[in-house]
Amino acid sequence: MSRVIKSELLKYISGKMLYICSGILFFLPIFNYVLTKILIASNPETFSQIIDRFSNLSSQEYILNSLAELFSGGGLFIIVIILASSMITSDYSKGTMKYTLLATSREKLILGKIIASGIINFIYIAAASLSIGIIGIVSYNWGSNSHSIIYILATSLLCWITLMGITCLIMFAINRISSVGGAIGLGFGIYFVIGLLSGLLPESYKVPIISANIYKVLEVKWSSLVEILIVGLAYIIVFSGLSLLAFRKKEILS
Amino acid sequence: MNNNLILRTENLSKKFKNKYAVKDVNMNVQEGDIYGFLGPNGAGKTTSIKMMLGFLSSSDGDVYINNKSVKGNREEALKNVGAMVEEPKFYENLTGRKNLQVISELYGKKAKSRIDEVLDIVEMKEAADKKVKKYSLGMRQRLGIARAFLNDPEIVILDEPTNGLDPYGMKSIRELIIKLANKYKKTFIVSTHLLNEVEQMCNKVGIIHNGDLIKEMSMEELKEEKSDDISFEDYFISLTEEARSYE
Ligand SMILES: Nc1ncnc2c1ncn2[C@@H]1O[C@H](COP(=O)(O)OP(=O)(O)O)[C@@H](O)[C@H]1O
Ligand SMILES: [Mg+2]
Repeated sequence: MSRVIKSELLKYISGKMLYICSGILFFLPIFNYVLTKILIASNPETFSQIIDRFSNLSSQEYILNSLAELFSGGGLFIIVIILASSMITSDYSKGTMKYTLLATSREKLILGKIIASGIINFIYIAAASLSIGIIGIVSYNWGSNSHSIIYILATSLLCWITLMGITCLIMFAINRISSVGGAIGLGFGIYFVIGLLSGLLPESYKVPIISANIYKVLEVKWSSLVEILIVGLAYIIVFSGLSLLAFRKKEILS
Repeated sequence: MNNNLILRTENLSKKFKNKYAVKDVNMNVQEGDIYGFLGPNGAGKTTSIKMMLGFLSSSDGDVYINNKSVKGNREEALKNVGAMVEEPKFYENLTGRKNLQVISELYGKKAKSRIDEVLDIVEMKEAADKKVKKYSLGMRQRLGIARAFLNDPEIVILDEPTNGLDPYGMKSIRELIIKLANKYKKTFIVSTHLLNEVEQMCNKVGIIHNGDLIKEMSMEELKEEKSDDISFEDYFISLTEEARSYE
């Protein structure tokens, strides 16, 4: 299986996508930061509240808030969902999967792809975290208040596990779809549905809704972290297992 | 069981919905054969080959490669098989060499060290560092054959490797296959809808028509069986018509 992972990663390292997406995620926090600075400077009165909040932030607070934005908002999710929905279907629909499958088994291929997407997601998160960390340390006072580095790292790790849970769910859901466009569409559909569910359901039923857990991770309560870890891992195990079962029987038509 | 049969199919069948695309095909490929798998478009060549490679599951029957069942243990049975199925497909944005690297990662060390060698064999060394999307069909076919050789297979299965090429391209692919079979002592199964291709390249032929393998014989037998005054073309047509009249 390590061979499948290496081969998948080689494909991404040799292409442009990995660098473009990492670049976008690296520059997004910098762009945000500069834009906020410019807005504040150009219009101090309107943004006085924000100025207050901004100037009192410690490095850790800035980092955690920005991670919260990263994990709960747009850019990263779009990239993760596109990766999860296209990783299998693009290989299948382009007809290249046949040659991968000549050299390995369906089981190893699917698990290898899941792990490779985990590693790629990790690279994306690392790219964004790097610029967030740099801005946090350079522009804010380290201070003594609030969260420890360990908490920040644990939060990021849990967010990563939660994203992987979502990735596995999407990979299973798209197993019957053979076009990349259709798969990406369904991937976003699923993400919106679980987002909707987490908005509609009462608090006590939300635990199993994986995307709701992203927000909970960011509440900074050690007590809920274990719960979130368990749900994330359960998604990964259940949906990678189901993907495996579905893919074992898949007919390679194209 | 005949031991030097490197690949055989046993009642191999595939039903799509309620129609058989391949029905009770019994193929026998011996070591060193260049086996021409001949049949008109839609006869069931690609479907048979996809079952040989475990891409499609057979509705009935099985394929044995070196006496190992593809149904039972696909990975083991396909260990020494290289293939190109339908049009040669690649990661278009990667170079030819990178495409081979991605696949050789899966096979391991030995395949990784063979990349230059296989590029040399198919005379693609110069174009190896260009992106595949810039390749002509003939170059793709060559790179596809190189890919099929990465794992130093005993048997190479090529599905219509000359399809869509101009006469010059066809000839050079044919010559390449003959060279590879002779020089490296590989067994080939080459599917085609062109009888003259089989005539020029193969020592054995299996003729498939409407999913039935209507004949399997050596080219010598075929030459004996066909009377001198009709062409191969006419003989082929008469065979398929004979088969049609049984339906
Ligand atoms: N996925 C499929 N679903 C339904 N019918 C198919 C499928 N693939 C092939 N067929 C049918 O099976 C028959 C054999 O096709 P194929 O093996 O591609 O022929 P060949 O490669 O000899 O041209 C054809 O009638 C084709 O329409
Ligand atoms: Mg075909």
